[in-house]
Amino acid sequence: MSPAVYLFTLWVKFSSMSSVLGLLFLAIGVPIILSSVAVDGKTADLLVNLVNGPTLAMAISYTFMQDNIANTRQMNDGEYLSLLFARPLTRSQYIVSKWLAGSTGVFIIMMLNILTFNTAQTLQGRNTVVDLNFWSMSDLILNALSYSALMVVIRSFPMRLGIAVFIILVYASLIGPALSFSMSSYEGAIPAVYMIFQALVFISNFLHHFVFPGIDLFEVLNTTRFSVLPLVTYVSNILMYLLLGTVLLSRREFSYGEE
Amino acid sequence: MSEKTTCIKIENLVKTYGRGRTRALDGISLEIGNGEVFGLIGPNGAGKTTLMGCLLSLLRPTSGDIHIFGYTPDNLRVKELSAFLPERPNFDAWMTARQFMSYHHMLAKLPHKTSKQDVEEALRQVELDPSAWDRRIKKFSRGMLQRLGLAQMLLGDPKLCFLDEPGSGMDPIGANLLRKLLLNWKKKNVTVVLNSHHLDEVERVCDRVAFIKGGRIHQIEELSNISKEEITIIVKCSPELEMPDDVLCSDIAATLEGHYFGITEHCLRFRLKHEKDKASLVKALVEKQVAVEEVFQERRGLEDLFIALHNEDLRR
Ligand SMILES: Nc1ncnc2c1ncn2[C@@H]1O[C@H](COP(=O)(O)OP(=O)(O)O)[C@@H](O)[C@H]1O
Ligand SMILES: [Mg+2]
Repeated sequence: MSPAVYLFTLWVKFSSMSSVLGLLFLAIGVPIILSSVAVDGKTADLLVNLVNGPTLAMAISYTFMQDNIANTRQMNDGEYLSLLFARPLTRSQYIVSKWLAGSTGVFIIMMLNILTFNTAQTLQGRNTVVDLNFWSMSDLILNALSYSALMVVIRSFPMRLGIAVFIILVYASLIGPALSFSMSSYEGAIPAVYMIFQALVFISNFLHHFVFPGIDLFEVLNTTRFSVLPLVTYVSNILMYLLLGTVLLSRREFSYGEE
Repeated sequence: MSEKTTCIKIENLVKTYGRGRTRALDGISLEIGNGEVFGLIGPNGAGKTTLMGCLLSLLRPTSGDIHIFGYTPDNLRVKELSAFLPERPNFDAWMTARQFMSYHHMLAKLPHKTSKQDVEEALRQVELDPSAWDRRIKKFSRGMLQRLGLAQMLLGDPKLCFLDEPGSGMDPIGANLLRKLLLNWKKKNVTVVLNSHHLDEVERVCDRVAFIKGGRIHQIEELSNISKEEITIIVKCSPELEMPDDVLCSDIAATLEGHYFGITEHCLRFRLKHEKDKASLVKALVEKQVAVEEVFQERRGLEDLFIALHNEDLRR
């Protein structure tokens, strides 16, 4: 862990008006929009899921990782990383610092996001809000850590591949709740359509369980038959992503002529 | 001076790009002593930057070994002791000079307590105007950027400095500053590795230079062996009249214990042992009916060695 890289990654977000506005939009704009489009209790529930779920967290994390882990060419960066890695900084320290900085960013922005959402809901006289208690807070932190680990890997991919994977993941994270929501109103519909829905939900669930290394601490700790398996999965997922990020970064060579 | 200990040891270094398609380094073996100022000289594409990249562990050698202070180049201890100026640095343009320096102070793992003082000291040493310290880097002129690049090297008193083409595109004031810093390092027994195709600034400070081309070292020269007395004389002849022949010029040069290089675009090129022979040379040429129009003089130095080496290569 390098304090310099950690602080830099958070600080760089305040370097330009556009990135500050982008974060403000995610923190305050999105929840206000979501809250104002809710038409009934059901939609409100869906929106609560969205605020709680991985989509926003991933988007925020992705933004925090933007300042280059390994796909340098996009920034036309000359020998930016050359100078950085000529300093006493290992590639794994770099990855871990980016990861922790991203997680911090996600936590802060998500807190703002939820508080704004809840305020907006209350002001409109609705009672569907995101619960803020010990369990949801710890989930927020744990999920921030895991989504950021995933984003570290995506940001270590070559530029285009990274964007493609990100879009697929966002799509998968959105489609799950959206589909199960609309499915309830389609139960009597044509069987073929219903089956397609089910298949999509299945794929989305699959991605949820194997790609998004999320965790629900309350469920893990308060079931009658306690199992360490979810915890192990959670931790090993993060470790695997960090390791993958480090490997991808270590394979990289830094020179201006690089292909 | 005491016996020099080895700082950098390179053995049989090979580096290829593109699955072996480009052989950028083709078996480099080299030892650089502690406190030595070492110049790597060669044309574009010679492999200078690649060699430096391997020394900084930014590139992975295809084969061969490098040891710096007895460690492999990726050892953090080595990086704590070294400083680097890239050929095409790209700074965080949104930061102010002071912020950038503080960031690098932190990256270099220097004690936070002395940060402000160290940063200001370095900025002062590169003579960056204090009014620019809190200005954003994106507003900097080229010369100011070069100063900032040098300033970040000074943080933490490095024992080993790598500079990749520091002089290219520098104005005379910048070049002067660079020379001052190099001499300062030399005085402090800091080892310096300097890449260059621009020879002037190197000539005055390097202890040794290696001529590198096509990924190989062709020659290593100790600069103390090159007489500072020797000069190059260029004699421009009138283009309307007939040019003197090579034999005549060689003979004249020989009588003055000098050397004749040949003719290019109506210019004869000589090397002389002493400056005082210049008049004799011109006199002899005029006596042999050579239509001398103008006479230029260059200090004999790396430039000539470089050209000689280059020509030799072309002839091969
Ligand atoms: N990243 C790279 N990929 C492919 N070829 C490269 C790369 N970097 C340098 N080269 C090639 O390696 C050779 C040496 O380059 P370089 O070390 O930059 O030379 P110099 O610094 O002496 O100008 C050149 O032929 C160059 O085209
Ligand atoms: Mg170069």
